Amino acid sequence: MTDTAQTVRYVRETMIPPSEPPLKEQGAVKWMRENLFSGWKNTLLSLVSIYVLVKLLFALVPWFWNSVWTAGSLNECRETLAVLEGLTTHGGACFAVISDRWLQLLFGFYPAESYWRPILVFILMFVALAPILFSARLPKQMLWFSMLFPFLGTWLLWGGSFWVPILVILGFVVGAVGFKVGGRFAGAFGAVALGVAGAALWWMVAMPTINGALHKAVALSRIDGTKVELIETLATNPAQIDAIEAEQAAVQEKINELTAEKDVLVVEMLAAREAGTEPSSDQKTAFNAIMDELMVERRHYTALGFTAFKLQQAISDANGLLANIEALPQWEADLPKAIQTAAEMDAALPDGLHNLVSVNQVPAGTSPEAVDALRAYLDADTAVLNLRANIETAYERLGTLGLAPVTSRDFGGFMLAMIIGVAGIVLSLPLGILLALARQANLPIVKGFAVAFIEIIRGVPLIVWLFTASLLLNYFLPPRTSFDLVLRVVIMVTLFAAAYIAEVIRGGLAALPKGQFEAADSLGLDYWKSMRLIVLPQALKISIPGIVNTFIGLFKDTTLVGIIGLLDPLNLSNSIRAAAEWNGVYWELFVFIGLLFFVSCFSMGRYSLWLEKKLQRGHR
Amino acid sequence: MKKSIMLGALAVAGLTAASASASTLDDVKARGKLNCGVLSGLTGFSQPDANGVWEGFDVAVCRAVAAAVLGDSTAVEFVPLTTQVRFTALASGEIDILARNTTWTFSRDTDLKLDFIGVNYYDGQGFMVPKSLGVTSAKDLDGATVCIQTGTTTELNLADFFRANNISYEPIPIETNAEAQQQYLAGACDVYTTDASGLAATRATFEAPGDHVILPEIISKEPLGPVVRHGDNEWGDIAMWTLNALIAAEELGVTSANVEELSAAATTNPEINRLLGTEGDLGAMIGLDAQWAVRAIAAGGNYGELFEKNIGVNTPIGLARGLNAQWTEGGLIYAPPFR
Amino acid sequence: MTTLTDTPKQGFRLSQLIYDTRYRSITIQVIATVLIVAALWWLARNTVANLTALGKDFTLEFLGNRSGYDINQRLIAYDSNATHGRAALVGILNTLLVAGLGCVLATILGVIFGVLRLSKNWIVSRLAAVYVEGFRNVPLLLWIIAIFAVMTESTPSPRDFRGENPVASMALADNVAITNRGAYIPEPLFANGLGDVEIKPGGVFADLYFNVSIDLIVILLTLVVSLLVVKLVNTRAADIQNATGVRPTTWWVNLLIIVAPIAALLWGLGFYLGKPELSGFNFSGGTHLRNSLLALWLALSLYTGAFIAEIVRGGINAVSKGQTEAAFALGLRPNRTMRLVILPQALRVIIPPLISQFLNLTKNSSLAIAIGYMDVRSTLGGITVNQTGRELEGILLVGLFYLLLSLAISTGMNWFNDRVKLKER
Repeated sequence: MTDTAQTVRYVRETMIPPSEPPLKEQGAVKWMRENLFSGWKNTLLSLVSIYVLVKLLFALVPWFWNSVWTAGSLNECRETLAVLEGLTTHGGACFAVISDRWLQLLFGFYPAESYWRPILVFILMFVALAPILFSARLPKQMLWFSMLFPFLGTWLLWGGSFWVPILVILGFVVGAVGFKVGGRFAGAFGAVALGVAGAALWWMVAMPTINGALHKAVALSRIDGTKVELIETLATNPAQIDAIEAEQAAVQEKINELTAEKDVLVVEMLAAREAGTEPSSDQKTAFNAIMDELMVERRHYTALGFTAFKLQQAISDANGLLANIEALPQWEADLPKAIQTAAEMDAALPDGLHNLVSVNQVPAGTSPEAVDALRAYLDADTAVLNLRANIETAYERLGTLGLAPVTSRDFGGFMLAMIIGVAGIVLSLPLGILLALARQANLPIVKGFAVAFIEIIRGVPLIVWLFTASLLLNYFLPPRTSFDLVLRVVIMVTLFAAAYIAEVIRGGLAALPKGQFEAADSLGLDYWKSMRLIVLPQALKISIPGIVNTFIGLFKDTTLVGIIGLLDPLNLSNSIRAAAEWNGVYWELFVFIGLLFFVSCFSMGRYSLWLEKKLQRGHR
Repeated sequence: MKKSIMLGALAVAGLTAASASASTLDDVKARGKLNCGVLSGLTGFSQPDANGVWEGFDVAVCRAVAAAVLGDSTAVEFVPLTTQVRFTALASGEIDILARNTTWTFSRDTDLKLDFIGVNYYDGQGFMVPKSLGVTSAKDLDGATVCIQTGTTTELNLADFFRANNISYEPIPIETNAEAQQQYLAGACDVYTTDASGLAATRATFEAPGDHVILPEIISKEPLGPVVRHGDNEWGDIAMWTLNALIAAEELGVTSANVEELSAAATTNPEINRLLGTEGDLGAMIGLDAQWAVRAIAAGGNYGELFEKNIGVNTPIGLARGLNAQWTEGGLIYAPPFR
Repeated sequence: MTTLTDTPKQGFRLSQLIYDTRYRSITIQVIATVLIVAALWWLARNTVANLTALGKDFTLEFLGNRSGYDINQRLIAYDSNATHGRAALVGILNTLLVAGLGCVLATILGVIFGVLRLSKNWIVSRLAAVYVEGFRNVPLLLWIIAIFAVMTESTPSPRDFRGENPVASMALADNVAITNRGAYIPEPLFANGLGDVEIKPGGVFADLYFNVSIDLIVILLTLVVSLLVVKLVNTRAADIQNATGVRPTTWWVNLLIIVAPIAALLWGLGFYLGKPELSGFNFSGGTHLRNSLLALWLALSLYTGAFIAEIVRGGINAVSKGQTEAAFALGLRPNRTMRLVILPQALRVIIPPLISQFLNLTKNSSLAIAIGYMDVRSTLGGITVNQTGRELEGILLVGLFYLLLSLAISTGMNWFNDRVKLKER
């Protein structure tokens, strides 16, 4: 063959190497031709988009570029901008407020020495979520940790004795045992009834008793040691505080010197600007150096203030505890007497007044003596209640063995948004599943209630529900009870999310082929078994993206709790602005908060997309 | 008995059963903390610092009460409250005292079952306008756009004022001071109206405070004071006389600097002696010890010191004493005699 | 040998309530009903006890008291001497206004950006993606506040229009003024108008009085009559087409029928546009679209539009590629393919989630108070509750209003959905 090839002159022996495509058809040019300028319409669109983009960048970039990060107040920001760049406030951002308050925006007023607790909970949350989110790759045993996490997380965040979460979990164990035993003797109904009753009895009666006893035991065992410690705290702390205050005074002196120095420099530089010349680079370096030093000193001052504050707090706690220790014997002696008195007064009340909780409730025509008797009884009853509460709290404070308790009033910022969002979703899942099943059920009345609940919750804005939580929930609870706002909000948000989750899961149930239900029935499984083993695992899997989206929505909606007075990031920004040094800062806080939300919501959204894709593959 | 058992169970089950007890003083002492309702942020009156420590003029009242009752000005739990829930929180026992610049009105004192224990700041609703508008009186504001920081009484006062003067206006209600400030500075409204103290505080933070004037008209009386529950007179007396002690201390020249020294031994002024417990037993009459007023004054200083430190002329807010000067200086601040 | 016999008939046994499926469902429902009714009764009893303990009662009488506060945007007559009920009504109308406007704009934005995100143009699809992700992932409250602030900072204040050399000037031949207090646009006025009819119901509904412009009624009536005539003409044209195969040209007749009477009527009424003019502190005359309305409208639309864009994108993607190819094979052009083949199928996927977006938008309009837009939550649920201390009644009424509104919207949209739904047999 080669011979012929050589002899035939007009046949090429070798291939010509492919020539480069024309300039218009390669590289960036080709890409642009295809993707940006493929027709006049496209070209126009591209040009408009580029114009918009450039406009936006020109408006925003200098503001970010010239931002000031080291300043103690908005006025110093303005000063820095004016002397360094010759700009007004609008010329550059004052992100110094973020560097001053970012911890507050993240954690609210959570005690700084305990920041590790929310951080640990945050990390553990991912560990707990991992077996659910990435079910294929992780061992099933990790699910046990996921089930423990809510109790562990709650304990870490709020603190208290280590046995409290264990006691709560034991309630579930009691419930489960009740369920088993009831199931053996009285069928499904007995199982549910005994399970619920057992758990309720445990939590309402046994747990408080055991908890109180444990606290009391611990308290009594170390009461003398505690007393000594407290007295020592009272003795040593004032001196320490004095020392810190002296140091603070020295730092303040230094700050004043630096400020004076800075002021002189500012005047010089502004004068230079006035005269039309740029301040010399030496001056600028000097200014920056002073500002840096000033910030260091200020941070030092704040840190000292914090230590002093903590020492002072220790003193007040010690004072309070010592007073409690002293009062305890008296209280314990008074309690039986008070109970006796109240019981006698109750017995002496005329018929029909025994169950009233306020003198306003007496029926018309009651004699004034009876009303007085009722009032006296109510006061006595309150006194008993308070004595009990006092003794209880005293022992609890003395006998806490675990983490320092933190009240939910101190929760705030991004952490609060996380807590409300996560608690809302986690608690609403079981309720949502039940509601979805009820809505699918073949029981008209139950179905009717489920539909009514879901539609009423979904038909009213969250903000109205939050108002209900903050203003009205106290009306719906037994008289003279109230509980803390964060808990009330979590309950309301849970109910709210449950309605949405129910709809998501209903979608998942509807997407399941009917054959699955029929197959479960034909295997002879009863309703709960078929749901638990066949239907729900599949339906929940399909619903995960929807659940994640509901969570994102809920998480964003947590900004609304600011309207009812909780210190979410947005409301906290108002508190920060109330400080004289940051009054007037506007956009910087919003940018920071917006960025926080964007990053977390965007990544969750990506996860849900990834999951959707994966699930789609799984079904094919 | 059923009630207390059930409530006790609820309390331990995690739901705090709060009960408005017959004696707030006993509650506070047992708790070792004073629960004090404040605004979540009002410059000079109540604001948290970078460490989360609350500061301000209203906050100082709570600290003084805590010092008098518990001997410790830091033994206060501050509860930020919104306008709507403040009275509910007080009535339900969630807080012991409300120091959240609340105007003393007839219906609040009677119908809402509250007790105002005095006035710690005499305020009034005022107007701020840019100087360039050339407005010198609120009556020139016909047709103006007014930014209002919404509250319970501001809208009503505004509506009444303009109606009474038969001039028209366009209200722009804004929830927070920050937004109102931003709107005003951008010129979206000609006038900003809220309590005069708030106006001064806001103006102080402007880039050019001199370009704005606060008009002479004060269109309402806003006596702001701490509030306690109606019915517990013992507790009300303690709060009231702590505030009065701060006021009397200024009048008598007792300051946080010299209170130690003055209380060490009886002085020549019998009223100071009675106030500081070196003579008589006023403290015992309100269920406290003799040194109660000394601690209250030492906590942050007398009324004048608190004023100067938090909102006075040398602070960024720069409020003059005005109506809030002692009666001896032509103001309205006046403590009944300690005897 | 055993013989198969029927099991002996037994009377009803109690255990059948649990073990017999016929009775079990009844048992469950009875138990559920008892539990729920008991819970509701418990709540109601607590509420009554708490109210009496506080010395309060449950009454709506406060709605008849003088409100004492002013509202800037009112679609019906209102001043501070009117009642709280009237203020609530003003708020309700404001909510309906912003929700209605928002739904329309959100749909438009959503469709545009949903299609743009599928565009082959790289930069356009990227920008659309940035818009969608940016709005979806940041809380709405933040957007509302930010857009309101941007609108006030980027537009001139009325002061800037004043003076010899004003910094700002009016747009569209001095007809429109865009200020940071809102946009002032010309309003239609009638030189020889026919006045208003006052509608004044009595009794409980005394607060529902309002005025209806006779001019508006006459114009609407004329329009309806014209449209009916047009319909008649078209029916006739169709008949002719069916009979002869040739359709007579009707468009100019139709145009004439619609335009001529209206034009004549407007001329007769002395129609003119009232321009906004600078006077005193503000512009006067014209219609004032307040910034709070514009910002809320824009924020709600942009936020919901981002969600709708995703729905639209999903809907279009859900139509299988074969449909496009089939349409092309039939010789349809891309435009017609979109209109006749893709969109009708995509709509079936799009509409159900679109309904819930409309519901969300309506409910989200309750954030209006953040920028001072006086919706029902700000008037009835805000200032009125604050003034009267009637939080139980106020919040319940607000909740009830939103519930009814949501139910109305979802009923209406579901009816529409049923009509466009694929009818499967």
